[in-house]
Amino acid sequence: MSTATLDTPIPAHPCAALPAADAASGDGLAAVRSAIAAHLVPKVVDVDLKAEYPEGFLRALGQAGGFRGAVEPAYGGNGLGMKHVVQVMEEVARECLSSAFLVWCQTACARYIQLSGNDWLKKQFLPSIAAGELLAGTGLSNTVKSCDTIEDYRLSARRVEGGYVINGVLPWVSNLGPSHVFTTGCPVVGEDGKLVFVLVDCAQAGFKLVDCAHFVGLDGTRTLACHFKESFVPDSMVLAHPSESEAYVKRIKPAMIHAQMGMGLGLIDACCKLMHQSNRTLAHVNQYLDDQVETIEAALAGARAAVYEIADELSEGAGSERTLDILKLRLAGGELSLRAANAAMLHQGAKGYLVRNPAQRRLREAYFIAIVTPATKHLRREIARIEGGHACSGM
Amino acid sequence: MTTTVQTTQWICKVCNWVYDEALGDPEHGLPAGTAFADIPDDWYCPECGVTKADFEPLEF
Repeated sequence: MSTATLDTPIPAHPCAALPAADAASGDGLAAVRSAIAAHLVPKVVDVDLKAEYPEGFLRALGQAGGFRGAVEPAYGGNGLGMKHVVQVMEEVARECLSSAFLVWCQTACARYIQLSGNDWLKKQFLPSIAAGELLAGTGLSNTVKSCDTIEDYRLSARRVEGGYVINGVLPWVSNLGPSHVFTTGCPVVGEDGKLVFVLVDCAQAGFKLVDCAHFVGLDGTRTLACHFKESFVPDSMVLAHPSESEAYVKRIKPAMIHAQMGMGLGLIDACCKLMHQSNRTLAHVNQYLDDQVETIEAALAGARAAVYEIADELSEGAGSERTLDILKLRLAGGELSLRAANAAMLHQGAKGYLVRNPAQRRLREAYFIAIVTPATKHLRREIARIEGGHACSGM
Repeated sequence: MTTTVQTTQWICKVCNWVYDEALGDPEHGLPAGTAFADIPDDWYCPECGVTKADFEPLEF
């Protein structure tokens, strides 16, 4: 993205109408399912084994309205809110967790902009992000872990006339490319630890993407290192200045974590299907395994109901009063994902160990849900701290 | 009295990749035998992309 592009005015976007198929189905997901079938299902193995970035699918999903739940109707959203965001992620995760994670990246970035006080940014970026025309990531993992005193901040900013200058390196930020944008936050020198949150243009001066990390799963997610060297971010790209950041964090944190449950719900459902598939011919043997499909499905149904209920609440408000519930649900989601993927693998047996069999992929994907920020150990620590009386004021 | 750490191996604090001076990082312009102190500031960890500032002596 060039500076000229940034300066090009974009008219206020009217409320995006649902695709015709969705108007008929009522859940806003028919067009999403069609996009998954046409553009993702044929690519799943390449995304997993060849680290192919599913850009075509993301564009198609955007056209199908898959990102619009994260955005208000005035900026191109569909008015369906967080539940729609979770449900789209769930549909995608049934086929491919890499792509579901990219949906989370895109919608999380959209929501961070939506919940900022910067109307120019909303008008300039939300319509194109909601439509999948502009792809977006979120580099808040280090910010979250630093706020929770797990690690040091990797970026620092200093105030200059008209903006901030940022220095440092973020090792792993996903859904990036030369024409993408992403959000991040870091402390500002002289502001007593207070943070500034910004939207970064990957093409801006003083910023460089470095492609070096390779992972055993989700390697097709364009997860890159971000180098800031005296990189200037103008005030127009600021999501929250230091004086606003504490309140901003309270607005963005609950949904940021909660939306990740869409990945877990979809993956667990897919694991249940693998168990059912195996049981058609091997139920007489599988019955001796510790985790049976009926048990996992019952736990999944309970988790799904809880996730949808909180998602609807988040659409109505910030939800910071539900932080503990959200953390516990997110922890349970990661643990049930591991349990379901392990059970699917054991049900499939040696077949599940084949390179193209989804069972072993699901196992690698499940570990991602358990280790992506906030990871299992992070969640357990935060839950213990909150239950021990620690104020829940940080990320 | 201060002690000086003598090491030929340095570990990345972010991803645990180890820079071994005996091996260097030939793929990224560091021949075998390159001392850690001689690595240029614009070199980055081949595993995760952080700079040499994020490395520390590998000690057991």
